[in-house]
Amino acid sequence: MISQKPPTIISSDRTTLGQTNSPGVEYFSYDNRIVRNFAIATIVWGIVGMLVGVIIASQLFAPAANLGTQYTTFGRIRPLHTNAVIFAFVGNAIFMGAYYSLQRLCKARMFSDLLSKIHFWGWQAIIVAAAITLPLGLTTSHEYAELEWPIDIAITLIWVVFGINMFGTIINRRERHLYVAIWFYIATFVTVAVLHIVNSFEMPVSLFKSYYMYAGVQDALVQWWYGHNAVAFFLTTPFLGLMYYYLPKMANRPIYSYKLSILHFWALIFIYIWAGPHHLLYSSLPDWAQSLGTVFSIMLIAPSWGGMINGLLTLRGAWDKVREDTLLKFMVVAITAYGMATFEGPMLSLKNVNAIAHFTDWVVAHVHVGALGWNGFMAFAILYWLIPRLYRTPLYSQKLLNIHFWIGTLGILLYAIPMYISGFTQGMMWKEFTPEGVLKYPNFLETTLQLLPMHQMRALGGAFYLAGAILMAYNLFKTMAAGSLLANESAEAPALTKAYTPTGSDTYWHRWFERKPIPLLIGSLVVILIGSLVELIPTFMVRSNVPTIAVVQPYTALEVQGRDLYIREGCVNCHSQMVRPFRSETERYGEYSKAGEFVYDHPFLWGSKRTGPDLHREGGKYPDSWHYHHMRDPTSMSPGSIMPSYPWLLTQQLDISTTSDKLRALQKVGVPYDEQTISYANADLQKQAQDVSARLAKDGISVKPDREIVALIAYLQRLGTDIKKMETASK
Amino acid sequence: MNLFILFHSGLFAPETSQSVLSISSGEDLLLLSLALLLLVGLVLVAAMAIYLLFILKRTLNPTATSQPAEPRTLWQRITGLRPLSQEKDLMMEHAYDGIVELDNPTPPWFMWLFYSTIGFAAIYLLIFHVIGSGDIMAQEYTKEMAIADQQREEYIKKVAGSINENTVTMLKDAKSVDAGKTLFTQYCTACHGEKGEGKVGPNLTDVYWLHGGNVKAVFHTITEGVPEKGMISWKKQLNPLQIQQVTSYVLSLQGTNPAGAKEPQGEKESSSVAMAN
Repeated sequence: MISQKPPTIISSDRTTLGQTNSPGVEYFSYDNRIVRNFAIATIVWGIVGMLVGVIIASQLFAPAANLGTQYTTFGRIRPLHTNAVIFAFVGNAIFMGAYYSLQRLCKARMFSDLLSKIHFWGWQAIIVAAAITLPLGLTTSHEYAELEWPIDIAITLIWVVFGINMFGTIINRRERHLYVAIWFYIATFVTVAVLHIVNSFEMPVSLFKSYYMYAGVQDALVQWWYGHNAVAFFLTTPFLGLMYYYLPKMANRPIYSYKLSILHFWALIFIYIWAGPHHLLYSSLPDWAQSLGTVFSIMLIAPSWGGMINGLLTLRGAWDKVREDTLLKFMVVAITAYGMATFEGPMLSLKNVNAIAHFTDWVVAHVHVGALGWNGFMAFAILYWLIPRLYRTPLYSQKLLNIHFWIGTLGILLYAIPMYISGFTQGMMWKEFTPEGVLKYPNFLETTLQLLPMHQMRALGGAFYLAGAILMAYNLFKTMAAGSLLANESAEAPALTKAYTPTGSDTYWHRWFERKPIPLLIGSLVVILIGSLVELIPTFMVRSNVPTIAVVQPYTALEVQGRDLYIREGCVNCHSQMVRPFRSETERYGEYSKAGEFVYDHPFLWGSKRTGPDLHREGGKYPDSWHYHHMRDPTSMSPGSIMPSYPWLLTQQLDISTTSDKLRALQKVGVPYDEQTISYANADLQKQAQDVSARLAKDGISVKPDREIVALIAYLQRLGTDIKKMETASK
Repeated sequence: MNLFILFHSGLFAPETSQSVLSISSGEDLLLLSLALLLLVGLVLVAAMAIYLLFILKRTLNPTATSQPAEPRTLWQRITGLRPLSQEKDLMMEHAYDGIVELDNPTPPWFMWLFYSTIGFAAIYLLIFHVIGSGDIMAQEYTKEMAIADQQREEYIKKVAGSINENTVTMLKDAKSVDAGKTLFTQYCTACHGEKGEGKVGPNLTDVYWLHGGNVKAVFHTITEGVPEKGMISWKKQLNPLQIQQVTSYVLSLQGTNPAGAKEPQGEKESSSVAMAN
């Protein structure tokens, strides 16, 4: 496969430019097979993830779309959708794009074919494990990190494999300086590692059950520090890296500004890491942490726009090409969507905007502009660019490509616009009062029902987008069939000399970092750790940040089991447990949530979206029988409800074999259960279950005390009631 | 700075007080000379800094002065864009897999955006956490609630000031009963059924009552609720006039015998209803 023609030197060393046959030229080949494998995985998982998305979107106006089984209800497969799209679709797209560009930017084959293979198959195995465990209800409930601890460990190992393979390639490079795309890959690698590890500290109970080490406010802060930066360092920085390689390649134009790329790289990774608390505005998080979240989000506008303008200005002088080249159209929509989302993000972090948007579809619209526009469209463009090159054949159909672009764009619009309207409507309806001074829509359900037409439009938009992706799959598989894979692409470059004295522009300060991958890695690490530590450490160490409340007690054994059912069924995906200090919320739900009430909540369950009402003050609001009927058939208690029914909770027997182990694990992470409580856990549990069962019997409902519904009712009736004891005591 | 404060307080001090410039003690003299010394020092340091800056600029960029001024429009200066024809001069000598980078400066508007967001952040933190107490959310909530309480009080005074547990009467005009029905359908059907036949909550159409069946007792039950049995207090969501309307509607259901009615609970109290009627 090795070319015999005299090599042209393509090194960046000025002295060797233009010379031929200088000594030390090396012949090698690029590994295209691994790129192809990741490309296929991207296509397949992309379609799976989007399909699940359309299904859950349909369930929000037609609950029957859950097919009546517990494995396909919204609560359980919503995490499947988010994980599939983020880690399977976008993740594989990152690896595809990075493995192709890294080899060429380093003028070196990937460090180890074996590591590449382990990385590929390991990652796919993790995805399959997720696709099995999430519908089974095995979840830790941390958003975008729902996978249980054994899978978390597997993720860590595979991520390290990726890191070794990447750094090995960088060390073996035949190019003196690292191009900006690689800086972004490095920052991605190190930050995702830190985020994943810190966010995954769990105390195992069994192979498939664990409790988070952190509780309540601290847990929420860690989760959103992770969750927000998963957006930053999994959905943003790697894609910026990809943009820096593929956009100039597609447009055949120089990158607009080297200086801008330096500025926005460092500013972006430094500032992004602080912004997580903007997910917790008006929550029980300390005020200072909320304010840091707000101001760092505002300061993030310019650094994130740095990437956008560097991309758009790279197209300067090539706009006539954009008109003809569909790939560039995909890129322009992607970059524009990125610009819109990164402007909207800071605006949503302003408290008064957040007060309306949070917990509504507005946030759903916001993330989907990013996911469908920025990540989806760029992944599509890269796929369309790569596959014909890997297979040395033109694309099967330009026409289908065009249709995909338009149907995809239409899909985004049909998705986003109704969701913005829906979010705004819902936010305003929650807050509206009549002249009498009472809530205009006291019944939460009214606000939900108002949104159904918008949800139908959204599902239609999603279906359009999915249809586009299917067209792409057809087009690309046809292309593959028409060509043959160039598995090992031969290349040549002079070896890098050890001794090097920088001259000219290479003496610029940042050039040093570009020659030194390890200091670049350490520099990125330091920069992202500063913000993380400033926010996390005081929240963990300073007691006044979480004022304790004496009457708040640990959950009973039955309530712990009920809480685990709540987690298993993914109730947190639709119900929040955070009454915010607004008049509209305290009128609707009761006293606002205090930090001290969550000290035994491993994990926190504040939620991020309200499709149904908040449940933090649910305890004691309705009789047990109300909850029973509500689970059996939600529409019997709330006519028109879009909550699915949970008949299996009424018939399934509660698994109490692990009760003591659960309490023991919780004790280890700081819940003050004494030895007696732990050893008599099941006796206590059965006693409380008898009481619940007896109360239900009084209302004419015969249910055995060992059924799951009993535990869930016990938990729901406990929610937010401890603080009421304080009122009674003070009276 | 010291000096500024000295002069400042001198200028705006009441006429009766002494001028700061009139030295009356050794301490004053020392202060004044220190202040003057500081001022001279400041001026000297500033002059030195500006001089050094010029020198540095000249040594680092010796040709800068010899180049002719570039004719750029205001728009070009704000956007920081150069004509495409100059692109060749901006190309950096490196290429990565064929990708060339231009050495364009960061656009001035972009830098101003960045600086202004940093300024915003500093001011925001200063206002809320240095000047203000830092107890932002709780404060905001207390204020919001105080305003709401006041509004509600005014409103109730205006429309329903005279209605309370002791003065409540049964309303019989169709308009009021209809208003009561609307409220009932909105708030009460989940527990008491659409026709008041009882579901989780008791049957409201028979003559048996758990907490009293006369107009005053029903008004009281709705207003205060029976928390231990799951009946919530409605006084924050409904005003007394509305509660009176609902009470009247509920009592008007007496003897309607809807289908699927729940078994009687509580005590028979038809006589009191009859009396109220």
